[in-house]
Amino acid sequence: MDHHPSIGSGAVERLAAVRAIVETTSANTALVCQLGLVARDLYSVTAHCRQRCLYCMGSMGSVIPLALGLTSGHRSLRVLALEGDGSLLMNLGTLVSVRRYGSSRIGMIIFDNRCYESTGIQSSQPEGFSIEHLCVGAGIRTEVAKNQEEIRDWIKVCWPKQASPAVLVIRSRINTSSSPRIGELPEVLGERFRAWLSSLEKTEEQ
Amino acid sequence: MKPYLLESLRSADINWLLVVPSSGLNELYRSYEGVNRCLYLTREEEAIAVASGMSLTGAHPLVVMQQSGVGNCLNAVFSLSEAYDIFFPILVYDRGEDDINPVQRISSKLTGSILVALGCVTIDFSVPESPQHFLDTIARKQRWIITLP
Repeated sequence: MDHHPSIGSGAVERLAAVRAIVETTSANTALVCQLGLVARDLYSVTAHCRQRCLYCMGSMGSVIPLALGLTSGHRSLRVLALEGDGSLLMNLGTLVSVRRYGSSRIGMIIFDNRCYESTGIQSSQPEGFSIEHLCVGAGIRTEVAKNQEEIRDWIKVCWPKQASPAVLVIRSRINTSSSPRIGELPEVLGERFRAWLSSLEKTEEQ
Repeated sequence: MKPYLLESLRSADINWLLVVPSSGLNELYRSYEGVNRCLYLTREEEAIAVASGMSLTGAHPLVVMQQSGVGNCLNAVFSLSEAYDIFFPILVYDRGEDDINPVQRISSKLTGSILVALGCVTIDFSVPESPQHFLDTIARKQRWIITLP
């Protein structure tokens, strides 16, 4: 039997981390978020800024390439992709694509709880494995946050200084409670986000 | 390259080419590489997500893949692009049931039935009517387009 003592043993509480991200990012930074508990947390703390958030409800592994597409299609948009360790593992090749084609306007925050929490806390990594080493191995500047202050500092100070896409790995712990499910249809979420992007473009043209 | 393929894409204002390894279309890739608008991606579902992001900004990407990659991307198409009402076309290069590789022949036959179920349109880019056919297909928001060798 394989034991995984490190599952969810990080210091950062997921909802508090999501709140810190929302509070620290500027109003014209897009947040694209993986499916599951992180998206539910993000939805629960972004009632005041829904328009700049794209909450995924499916397609694991899609938020980093989504960020690549958004920043390639828009000349000035900054995008934070909120991803999980398990979801990133489903689409590792995208680290190579982001390194190859991505701009400094892409920030990637990986919630690393070492498990698939949304589906019942199955282990996602062997002991001693390190998500940040994967990102470093792809040639991407990578930092690790162990508390909310380090998250805020990365968003405010570290990410803006980067000349290429950057990663922040958050050591998160398992939550015994979860935020409510997202109460809107995906096409509504998509249309609102599209309208916000369009309004940004018009503002820049003026 | 089929003589009307590039013209078809230009007439539809396709301004990004998102390519997952696929045979038979090298000249097309080079024409978009020349203006830094061709991205070579690692897997089909990744291309779907990149195209979704671009489309949300108002860009006009085209995803190009081989028929053998169709199965890889269905979840991303269904649960991201379709679910969030994000349209962009996907050009599937079907190597056909006469391909020299027996695995591709099987893949072509079986994937063909899936593409029919998805409402695909086959366009022959060797005929002069194909640019208009391509434009009409996109105007109807038909996502899946097959081209044959």
